[in-house]
Amino acid sequence: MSGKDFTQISRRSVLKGATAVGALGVLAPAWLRAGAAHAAGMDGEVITGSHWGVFYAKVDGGTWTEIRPWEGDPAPSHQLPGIMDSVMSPSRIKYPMVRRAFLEGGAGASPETRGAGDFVRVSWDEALDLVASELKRVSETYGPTGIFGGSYGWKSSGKLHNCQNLMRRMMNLGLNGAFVNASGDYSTAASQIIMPHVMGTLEVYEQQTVWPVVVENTDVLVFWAADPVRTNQIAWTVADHDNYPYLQAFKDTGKKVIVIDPWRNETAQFFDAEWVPIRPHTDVALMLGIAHTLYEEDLHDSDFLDEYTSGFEDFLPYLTGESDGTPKTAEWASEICEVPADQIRDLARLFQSNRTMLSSGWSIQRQHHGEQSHWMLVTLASMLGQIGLPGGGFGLSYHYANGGAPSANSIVLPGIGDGGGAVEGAAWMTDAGAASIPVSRVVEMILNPGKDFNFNGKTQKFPDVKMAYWVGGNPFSHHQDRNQMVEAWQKLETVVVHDFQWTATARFADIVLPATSAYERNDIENVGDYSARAIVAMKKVIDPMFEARNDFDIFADICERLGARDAFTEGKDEMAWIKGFYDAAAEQAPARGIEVPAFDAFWEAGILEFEIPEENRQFVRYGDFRDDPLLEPLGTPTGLIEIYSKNIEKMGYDDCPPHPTWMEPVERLGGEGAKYPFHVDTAHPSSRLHSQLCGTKLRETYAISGREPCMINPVDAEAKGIVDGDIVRIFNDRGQILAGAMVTDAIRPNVIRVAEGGWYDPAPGGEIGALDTYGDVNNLTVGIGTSSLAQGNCGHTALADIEKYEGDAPAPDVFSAPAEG
Amino acid sequence: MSGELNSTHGPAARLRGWVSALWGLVFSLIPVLPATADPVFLAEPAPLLATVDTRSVTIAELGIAAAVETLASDGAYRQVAVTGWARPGAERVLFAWPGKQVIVARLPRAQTGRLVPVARETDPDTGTDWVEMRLEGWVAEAALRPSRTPIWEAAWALFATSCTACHERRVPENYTANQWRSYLKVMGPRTGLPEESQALILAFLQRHASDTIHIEEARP
Repeated sequence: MSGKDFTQISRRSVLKGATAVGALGVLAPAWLRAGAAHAAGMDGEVITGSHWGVFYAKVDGGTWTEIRPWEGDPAPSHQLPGIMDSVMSPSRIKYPMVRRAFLEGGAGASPETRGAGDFVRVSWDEALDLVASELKRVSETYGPTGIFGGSYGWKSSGKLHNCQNLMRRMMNLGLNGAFVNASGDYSTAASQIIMPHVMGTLEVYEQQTVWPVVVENTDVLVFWAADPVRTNQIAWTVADHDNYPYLQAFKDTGKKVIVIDPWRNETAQFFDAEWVPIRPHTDVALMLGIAHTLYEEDLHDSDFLDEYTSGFEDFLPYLTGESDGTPKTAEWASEICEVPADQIRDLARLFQSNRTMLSSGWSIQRQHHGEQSHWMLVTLASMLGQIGLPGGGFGLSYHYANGGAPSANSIVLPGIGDGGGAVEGAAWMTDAGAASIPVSRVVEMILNPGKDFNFNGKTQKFPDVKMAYWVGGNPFSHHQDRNQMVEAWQKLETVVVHDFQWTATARFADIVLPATSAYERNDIENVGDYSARAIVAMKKVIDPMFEARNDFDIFADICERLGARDAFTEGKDEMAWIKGFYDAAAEQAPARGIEVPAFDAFWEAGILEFEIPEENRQFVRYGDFRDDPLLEPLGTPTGLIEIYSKNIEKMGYDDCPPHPTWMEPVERLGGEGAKYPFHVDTAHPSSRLHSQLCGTKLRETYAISGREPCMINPVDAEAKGIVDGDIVRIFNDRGQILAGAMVTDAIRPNVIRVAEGGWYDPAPGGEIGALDTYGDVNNLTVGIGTSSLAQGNCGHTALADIEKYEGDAPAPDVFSAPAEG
Repeated sequence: MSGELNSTHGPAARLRGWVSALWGLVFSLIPVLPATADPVFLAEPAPLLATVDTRSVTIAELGIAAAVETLASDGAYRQVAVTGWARPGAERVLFAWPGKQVIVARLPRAQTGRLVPVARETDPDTGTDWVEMRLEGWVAEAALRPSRTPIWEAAWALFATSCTACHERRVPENYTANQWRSYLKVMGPRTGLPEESQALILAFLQRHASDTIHIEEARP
């Protein structure tokens, strides 16, 4: 079965409510049975949770043998079997390992051998001594900005074993907070900075007008670069999947669904939606064309604009072309975005004459000048005048973590803190450089210490970082321009990584510590980022494999070497912390008018569910603002939607003007001087969470000729002499990857799609410019920031060329451990 | 960064941070405040009463960290004056500064007649009109502190613990006072903290925001 077939069939069956029962790991591989340390007496079935949802794990003879979804999950993810396999995969990190040159030559020795896979096994004591002495050495030698502790990534769910917090807790308590932190994220960096100027709030992580209201009231549902059927499989806490029944309910109404995306994504296929195969990177132009039509045909809601927005009159001369000589007509837009002008005008009329919800994903802000995309979307929604009406307006989180699922009346778990309450504010570090950088600037920081950078109205200096400590993330997947990153990493003296699998990030480290997976320890977590409809006991499934240890215990031991063990642990063990979180949450129950069991009874039951009040099924985002904009002002300077921002005007950034603007990106399809003929669509994978689960047998369900799939239109494939299943090389000036061709008309011509999150597998390892034999698409993307305003990543900005690969394709070897690992 | 914040987070304060659990005790030991011309500050949301009488009409709900001027004292209650800025048409909410949504007082609709306008201003950036209003009434001594320092100590401890469980600690002055109000509307309930604790964190963040920190620093 090809990846394409698997994807389509499995997503359909998920939506029909079929369950995902693990079949991949029924028989544990021989190497595992021989080497793993398993405890007897744990047999049976336990409940636990993950980013993919709540599930039961069955253990037989000390080995995890089966996984089945919780019966309360309305649409279990087909990825569940991959979770089980990840724990027992050949890519497990078994022992503490140190890069040979580092061990023999000391910090900074032969940095070019990072990534070459030459590791030496050491004891835990040796490893921890080494880590503690490096933390002290770098801190004493280079001062408070020598260590980067801004670890970022999708660490496993759980309120206690939050490895990123635990790491910062170690650095706050053991090193007096002497580390450089990071702010923002790779998902929504541009939007979470621009939206507060426009709407006064983050938007991207906030409750949407709830689905029951949308099903009831929305006539036209637009998914603008959003694919909720695919992306709602996962959540930051534990996924509830509550959106899926509502997606089905909306489909059952037969109302109009429009998907604007360069490929006919899974949501388009699910709804059999009208597909608008826009040219990538041109969404702002299309929005402007629609906006111009609304204005030209007097279809815009001037009452709404007067009452609830500020600065439309300053934007209008740009829209009409009065200020720059270019009216943003449907024809103008069509030239750029390749949507026919008549269709653009039809969209304007359709949106205006119906209750329309403009639901947008985040990809269109994860690109050069990405700040403009959602600003223009809000401007368009303001011209339609339906913000705050049931089922109208816009939404930036319907595709994420089941946004729009009604919220329960629940108690909320606290979690382990980063220990920063005990250290002074960060401002004391500013002489040596910024104490916190926008997260995606990490490579730029390492390569340019002392250089000024702009960020949201401030100018700061990049600190001179010598050591990176990374936990709970795989930056050698999520960061852009891989070869620039390899170069930057060679400048570091010391790199420490905790993980449970040999990701590329672990391979590019000096000291690698084997952490437990989330299924080898106890924890606790909320279920449903938005619904919060349960609390799950994340019970340990099996004992830690090989020499894996919990991050909590690793950092406690490091803190002991730094003289801060007691402050770190507060004298509590795993279960004491978990019980403490539960008890703190339980104290909220009386105020919410609910009763909850005592901890022991909860833990025994494994899950505690909450009721969803009727009023929460009626929530309309910005309903209160629409009712009374004076008493419920937005968090903007005017209290209104800011179509023109004086605050941004004052920043004076060339690359982020004070009203939404079509800005040519550094490269795009159809752009002037475009050097390569294909846009590379780097959308999220269907069968992974970013790079998580790439190192599992799940990969066999979608890989093509052993590589990450590359969707290509039949017309392009024919022109390039590529047929389905071919190994292809995709390349540009930044890098080159191999992939497996999937020829399909589900993607528009001139665009190829390689999902992000494929494990980076350079041959030879560690060499700048090496051929990636599996297909990490971030070899091809640009490493620049979105603009001076947000400095987000541009993971969707990439042009490249593709060819049938005629050479001898090396087999990927990133999915097993390095030689001595 | 303000002297006030440094004194909150500086090395000396770090020691005090370890005993933050004792703040409740510290509060209970605070002596009766002398009635002077210096402003005093709300440590918790408290009703502003028309008279010293438990059955008195509530004129307004005063916000955490709001500054009030002492007019008279009567045992457990103090007569105070509070001023804040309102949008014409929205006099039920008084803010600390024009255009900055740092709430000083909220009034029931029926009580807005007690407001006395003392100044007017048009915010040059937004073109919005603002009226400074003065309001007098009685507030419980127990809700007042002679400085904001203990209020910020308590707020910092909560913020640093509760607001790092799901994401990295945000820098207060990276956001505006108005943005903080909107963020806390969404993020506050996710902490599971009681509403008063959420309001305390909000007051701290809003008064250490990018567009207020310098005003607070200049405060006498």
